[in-house]
Amino acid sequence: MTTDRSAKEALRARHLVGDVQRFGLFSAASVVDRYNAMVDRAMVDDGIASMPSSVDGLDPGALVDRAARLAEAYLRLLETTAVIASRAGRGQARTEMETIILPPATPASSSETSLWVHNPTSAASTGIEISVTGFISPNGATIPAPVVRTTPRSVDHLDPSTSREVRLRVDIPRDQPAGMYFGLALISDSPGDAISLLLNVAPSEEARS
Amino acid sequence: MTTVGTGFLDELETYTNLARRAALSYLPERRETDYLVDPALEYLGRPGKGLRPALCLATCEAFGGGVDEAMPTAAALELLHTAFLVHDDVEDDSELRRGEPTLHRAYGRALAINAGDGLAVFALGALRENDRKLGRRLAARIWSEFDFMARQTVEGQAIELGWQRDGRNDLTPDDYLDLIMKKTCWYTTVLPLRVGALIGSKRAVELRPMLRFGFFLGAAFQIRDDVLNLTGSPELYGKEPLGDIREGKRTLILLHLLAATTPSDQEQLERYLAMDRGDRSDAVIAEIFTMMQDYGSVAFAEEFARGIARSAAVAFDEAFADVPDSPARRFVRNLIPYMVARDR
Repeated sequence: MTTDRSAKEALRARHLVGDVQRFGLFSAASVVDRYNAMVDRAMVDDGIASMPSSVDGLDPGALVDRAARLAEAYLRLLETTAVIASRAGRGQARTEMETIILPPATPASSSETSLWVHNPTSAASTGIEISVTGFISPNGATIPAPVVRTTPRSVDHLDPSTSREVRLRVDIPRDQPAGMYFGLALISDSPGDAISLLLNVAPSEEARS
Repeated sequence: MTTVGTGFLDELETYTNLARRAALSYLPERRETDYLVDPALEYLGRPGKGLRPALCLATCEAFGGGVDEAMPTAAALELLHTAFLVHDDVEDDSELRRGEPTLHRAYGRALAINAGDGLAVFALGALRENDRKLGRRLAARIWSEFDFMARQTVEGQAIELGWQRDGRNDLTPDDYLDLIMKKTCWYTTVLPLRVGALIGSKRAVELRPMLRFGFFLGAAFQIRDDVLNLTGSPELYGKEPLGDIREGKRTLILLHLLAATTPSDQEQLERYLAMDRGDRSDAVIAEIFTMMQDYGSVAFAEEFARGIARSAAVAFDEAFADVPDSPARRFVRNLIPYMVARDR
């Protein structure tokens, strides 16, 4: 189906697509926090009490830390982003994305679901890799990638017009903040067609009591 | 994500037409002079998307209010947006707006600038009607929201123009997101959502999630706009192709290119950005566009926007969690895929 070279390109593009999407999401989340604080202060008693132009009141250490992490992530992305442009079917990636909603779970528990890898072509497909990113919530909280696993991690061989089930499991850390989290699953044969994953982390029993 | 269908586009057109009619009603009933009203009417008569008033009206409905209650506010948004467009076209010396010559090209710069001033003044008249329709307390709150938004917007526009004038090449995606929060998102999505929810709920709404959803939605809109400026069909998009490159706008695409190029290409790019606008030939502009494609800068922006749009979907669920299902609620939700898929 694919030459070695194009398979490697697809693999790189697959990771980059996910990284760039997560980078955009995380960058945007950090802007929201600053502006929520600004507008709250401006709307005192339904009037413009003051018009702050700085981010007073926010933890400067946290902001610096977040900015440094973003800058580091950006530099890493820059090294190789040209490969996205050369991925198969440039500009043809779908604007709509399949979404899988994982069963809700609480901290220190797991959520599991199935992904299906399809081969709709008339030729066998080999060496299909499945990767899943870490998860991120709109306010910037993350579930790290190492606790997200697939079984199997790759599909060595898939006959024409057949499908294979892959189990996806997320072990939610004990101290994970509650909220809706977003992640991506990417299949090496179609790097532009990421699958969106949604996971609702409910408050732990301790937090509710 | 939900597919954008013709039903959604029909609803968008319905909201837009309602707000347009309302906006026109705030222009002077009796013409003292055609020199003001004719150019002021020009853009309002051209087919635009009408996103801002539609978002305001639909949000108001979703939160339990009537379209009529939010109409003066939606009209004010459309009038103010049109005023911003007129002045923006003069500042950028753009050639086309909505597929036809810009106002300053058609009427001359002085009359165009004055018409922009006039449209902003007419927006004030629309907001004044909120006193009678909503009561003084809610009307005052809407006024405060507009005040804050307008300050953000002009500050954002000033930053963008300043970056171009000073040839700033040391900017990052964070700088860009801050810029578009101010110059685009606040008046395109954040304000329409906030005031729509305030009116519909009679002020009984938590606005922080609304800002989060509004920013993600507006950022996806602006980045898509930057991409359309380079790759969109001129007939549908309605502006001259590659206009942002010609103006040297610090878009996410250009910032990525500045950071990703090899030293020799970077030198060429910086030479280009240091040129006077009039010296930027079509051939050189085409070269810069090719670099943007080859270095993956356009693809980077598209994927970056998709990431933000995914988050917009989650933020919508949070902001509208207590809002029962309705056509208006679904319309607002359907704006998310529309923002990243639109071709005009």
